[in-house]
Formats: sequence, C-alpha cells, structure tokens
Amino acid sequence: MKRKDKALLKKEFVNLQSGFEIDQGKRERALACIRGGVRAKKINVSPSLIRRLYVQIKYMEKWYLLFPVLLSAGLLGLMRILSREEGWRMELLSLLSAGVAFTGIFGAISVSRIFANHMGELEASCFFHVGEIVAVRMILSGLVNGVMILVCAFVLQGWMREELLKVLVYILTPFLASNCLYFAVFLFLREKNMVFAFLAAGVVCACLWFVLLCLPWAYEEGMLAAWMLLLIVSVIVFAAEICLMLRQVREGEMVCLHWN
Amino acid sequence: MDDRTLIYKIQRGEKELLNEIAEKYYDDIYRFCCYLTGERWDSYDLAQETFLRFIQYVDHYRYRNLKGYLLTIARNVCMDYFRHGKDEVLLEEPLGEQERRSAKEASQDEISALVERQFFLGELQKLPQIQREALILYYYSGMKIREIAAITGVSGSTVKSRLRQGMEKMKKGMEE
Amino acid sequence: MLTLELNHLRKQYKNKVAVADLSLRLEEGVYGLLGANGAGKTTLLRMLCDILKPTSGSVLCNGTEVREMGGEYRRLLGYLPQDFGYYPEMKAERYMRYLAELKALPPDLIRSKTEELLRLVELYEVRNKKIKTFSGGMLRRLGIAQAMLNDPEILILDEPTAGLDPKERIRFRNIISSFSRNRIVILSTHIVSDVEYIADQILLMKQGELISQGDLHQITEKVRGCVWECVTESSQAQELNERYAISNLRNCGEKVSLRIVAKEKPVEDAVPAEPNLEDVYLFYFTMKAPDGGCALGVPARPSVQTSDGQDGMSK
Repeated sequence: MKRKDKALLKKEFVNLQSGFEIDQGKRERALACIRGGVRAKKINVSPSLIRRLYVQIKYMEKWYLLFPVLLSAGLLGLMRILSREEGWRMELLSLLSAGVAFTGIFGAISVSRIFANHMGELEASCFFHVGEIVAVRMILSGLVNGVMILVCAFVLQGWMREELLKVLVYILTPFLASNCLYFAVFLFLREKNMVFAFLAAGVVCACLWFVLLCLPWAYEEGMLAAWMLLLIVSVIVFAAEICLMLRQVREGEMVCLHWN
Repeated sequence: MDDRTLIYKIQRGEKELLNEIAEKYYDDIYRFCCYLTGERWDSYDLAQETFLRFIQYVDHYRYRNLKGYLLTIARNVCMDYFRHGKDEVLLEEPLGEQERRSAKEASQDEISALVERQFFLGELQKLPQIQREALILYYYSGMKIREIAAITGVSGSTVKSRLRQGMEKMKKGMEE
Repeated sequence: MLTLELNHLRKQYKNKVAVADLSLRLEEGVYGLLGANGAGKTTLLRMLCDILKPTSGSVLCNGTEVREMGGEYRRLLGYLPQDFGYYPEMKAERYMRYLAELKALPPDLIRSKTEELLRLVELYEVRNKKIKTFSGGMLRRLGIAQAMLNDPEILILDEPTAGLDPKERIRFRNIISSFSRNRIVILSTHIVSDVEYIADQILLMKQGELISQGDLHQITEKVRGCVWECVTESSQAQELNERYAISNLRNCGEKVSLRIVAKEKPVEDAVPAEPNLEDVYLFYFTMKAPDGGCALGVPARPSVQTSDGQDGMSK
C-alpha cells in the first residue's frame, strides 16, 4: 500500500514537470545575467601555509638557505679530520659553536633582503603583508638551521660520547645569542649596505665565541646552569626582537626605508 | 568534467566555468523553485538569484554535493521570496500563456491531464512549507533523506516525519 | 561600488607634520593629487595603502577601517610606490609572477594575467631580461603593470609618469583612462599636464593640507582674475619676473609677452586672461608674499620635471 502510494506520488511529481515547460528566451536571459555576475566576480584565494613556504622558496635567493648547509657540512668535515688527532676534544665543540654562530647571519640577511631595493614598501601593499613574508622566511631559515644544528649535535655527541641534550645546549646557546646580536644590528643599524654589517657582526661573534669557549672552565659541569640561563635569556631577547620588528613593519616606517 | 573538477578549477581562477555550472543545473533549480513556490514566472528570477548567490560564495565553498548545495541556496532564496514577496503563496495565473494557447487545440485527454496537474500543484501548495520542500526534494529532486536533512538543517528523523505527514495530507487531498 | 573615506588623517614625524588633519571622500574616478615635492603626497598615499600607520585619524573603506580589514583591503589595492622596488637580478616575467603570488592571485590566473599585462605595457618582448637592464621608462611601465595585476578596485600610483617619455606618457594616460571605470584611481604628480588630461578630480596639496579640490573647471575658476597677460619691453620683463610668478614668457620681436599670476594687476596695460591649471599651480605653490608678489628662486617650473622624480629610477 505504502509503496504504491510512494510510486504514485513520484509519478505525480514527475508529471508536474511537463507543466513547467521552460521558456528558452527567459532561460537565456537569466543565464546572460548570471554570465554578467561571473564577469564581475573575482575569485579570492587564501593560499595555505605550505603554498606560502613554497612560493618563498621558489622566488627567494636560494643561497641564503644553501650557505648554512654548506658551512655546517664543511665544519663537520673539518672536525672529522681534527677528531682523528689526539688532544682535540672540547675544542671541537667550541669550533662548531663558533661556526654555527656565524651561519646565523644568513637568516638575518635573508630577512633583511625582503626590504632591500625598496621592495618592502611594495610588498607591504600586497595581500601577504611584509610581516607574513618575514615570518615565512624566518620559519624557512629556522628550519634549515634547526636541522643543521641537530645533525651537528648528533654527530658530535657520537664522537665525544656526551649526552645529546648537553651538546645541543652547547651549540644552541651561541647560535641564539649571536642571532640576538644580528637582529639587533638589523633593527637599530640603518646602514646602506646591510650585508656588510651582518658579515662584520658574524665574524666578531664567531671569534668571540671561539675564544670564550676555549677557556678551560667553559664546559665544566658546574657551568651548565650558566649555559641554560644564557639560553633562556637569548630566547627571550630574540622573541622580543622579533615582536619589535613585526611591530615596526606593521607601523610602516621601517618598510619605507631604503637599503641594499 | 565532473562537479569536483569544475569547482577545483573555478577556485583556482577559471571563473568562466561558473557558467558551465549554471548551464548544467539551471533547469533543475528552476523547477525546484517552481514546485516550491508554484510561480512559474518568478522562478526564473529565483533560479537566477540562486546562481548569483552561489557565485558570491564560491571561493569558500568546500566541495561535497554541488546539487545539494545549490538546492540549499535555492531554498533560502525562496524563503526570502516568501518573507518579502508575499506572505502566502497564491496560485496566480495557474495556466501559462503557452498552455492556454495549446489548451485550445488540445484534445480532451490532454486537457484533463492539465487539470489534474494543476489540481496536484494546488494540493502541494496547500501543504506547510516544511513538508512541501521535503516532498519536492525527495520525490522530485531525488535527494536522499540524509541530503534533505543537510539542506533543510534538521535531523533525518524529522525529515522522515515531515515526508510521512506530507504524504498523508497529499493522499487525503487527492482522494477528496 | 567602493568608497574611501579619510577621517581627520594625520601623520607626524617627531616635530614635522607630513599630513595634517586631512578629511576627504573618494568615489569612483581618477583623482590627481598635485603638489610640490615634500607636500606630503607620498605619506598620504602610503597611509591610503595601509602601509603607514597614521598618527591619528583613519581611512575607511566602505565604512570599515582599512587597518582592521588588513589583507582583505590590500586585495583590492594596486600600488606603485614612488621608489618602485624590484630585485635587479630577477627577470621581468618572474618578477611579475612573484608579485602575483604575493597578491594571492588564483594559480591559474597568474600566467595569463602576467602575459596580458606585460603585453599591455609593451614589455612582453623583454620579459626574459633582467630588470636591472631596463631603462627608467621601462621600469616605470613594469611598475604600472604590477600594480594592475590583481585587477585592483583601488589603484594608487605615486609619480607614475616620472621617467616616461612623451609617447609613453600618452600611452599611460590611455591605459589609466580605460582602466578607471568603476574604480578609484589616485595618482600623485608634480607635473601639471598629467593631471589636466586624465583626472576627474584634482586635489591640490600643500604642506600636508588639502588647499583646493574639484574638477578642472572648479579649480581654475578659483584663480580667475589673478591671471594677467601683457606685452612689455624686455627690461621691464626682467623686473616683473623678479616680482611676480610668471607662468609663461615668450619673445615676440623686440618685446616680451608675459603671463603673470598675481592677485592685483601687475602693470597698467595688463589684461585678465583665462586661467589654466598651470596658473593654479603657480598661484598656490609659488606665491608667498601677501601683496601677490612671488618669492625669488621659484622652485622648478611645474611642467618641468625635477631631477627628484628620476632619482627613484636610477639605482
């Protein structure tokens, strides 16, 4: 009974369709109006984070990413040779720290390049604000540097038979502390040639760390607390610098400066 | 090209393909509006408005069931029409210009079919809107209970009871 | 249809006021922002572009503050900065694609839009050349093309014609005229003839303030009665040149024909003349003394391009 009703109703509904014959002229007019709507339509897309990373990788000057990798690889090679010699233990670590501290400049340079050649002002008017571009570049160079540091720490702890975490602290601290300096250079120095300023800062940092860490008590057990403290302070300072930078970018004055 | 590909390409910038979607579904949407409102002339505008709204929202549309989505918009358009256009749906001009002309020449059988259709449509329009739309979506547009629930924003069991009640009323009306 | 509303907009750097309490309403059309260098044009445009944060006041787009709209506002925007930025080593086409990505164009549109615009500004043939090899005019054209990539509702061009030769300038005017339908186009310049032909509305800016606003006719009407023409001996012409703003000077035989902008009749036989935009410019930008006289050392003539405009190009 019920099934029959359903079938009947269905038939009635389909029957009804013939009563609504479509007037082709009216249909065409409606479709033309829709075409007008399509013409005026702008498709807006909001690319995903992956896409944003990809775009930056595709268009940025790659050597800012490549350099840290090459440098770290070179350092590891050098240490491999030195580690065969007798009497090189902790000095290896200081050398690596100094090297890693130096590679930090490439992250800073890569960010500063966003503003070079008046590009900052133009980029600030695009959908992806400079702030976002800066963030994406920082993520990229952070990823590359992070991986390199991890690899170095891992290799080194094998040779030195030390705890991985401890080695990581020993390497990460100089890296972050130096980055604080580089971004300070970026924020407070308004040189025409920023790359040169970064290079100078990098060399100074590397030398300083190497000398400091060659001191006999640098890696003593008791000093670990001091290391940790320095690491935490660096993280805080670094974060503060980034916030300051993003704020300056947002307010705009920084974007409109001209540098190379 | 299937709907998914169409939407994918549109969202990547090929907005001209929106016309293809309109071409493909205009008739379905038009008839749905006719059934729901009983207004064969205003329904051209209602269907047009449906697609214009779809064009507006298309950037943020996540592909699932395109026809279902269009029907959802059409339903909202018709609801706005009821709200602002008229409080009650009246069957004004039940016979179209064309039909009146053809009715003169039509045979007795055809005329009785026409009368029957109008009677059915009239009965349909007497139903409360929620039952009417459930019946139309189920019996005419071929939507599943689950899809109707999504379109009308109620649970599956509510749809079922609306269908049942609607059907009973229709049956009663037709038998009288 | 979009409207832009500037609400008591103000920008102050330490003790220098760049833009002072500026209120304005912009609707569809081409706006020519005319002013001397340092009048605050660039600062104003940067605030319109949501690049620079105003010291106080706000810019509203259809009633919503643009700083709150953020990316959704910048989606509507095309901007050509005065100092147009580019990566010298990048090729023109790649550069356009990069900016198209930053402007979040749908992927399938990037290629076609890039090609379309490079053809429009006649750079398609050199699309694979590095930007650093481009001439000043080519750079400017590239800049105009990138600003139009996202089909902007609001197009803001800061000194768009600097570095363009006369032929390019005419072409630029045609591009803007055909583009400006249903859009807001704002272009700043210190070159009078640019504005005369394409702007529907002219905004005159001086020391951070809007001193006059209206269409060409309304603007020129305001200086009616302050433009004079006379023919004098060359010795007297010299003297007049020192005392008044001269908008035109022509030698005819022994005598000199002068066009003078002054509030009072400069010489006995001077006759009033029909004012034009250049006279307006002179009237507002070079006259200082209250007696209608003009300070010496008038800055560059309005129709003469100053070196400043080109500095931005030659990097």
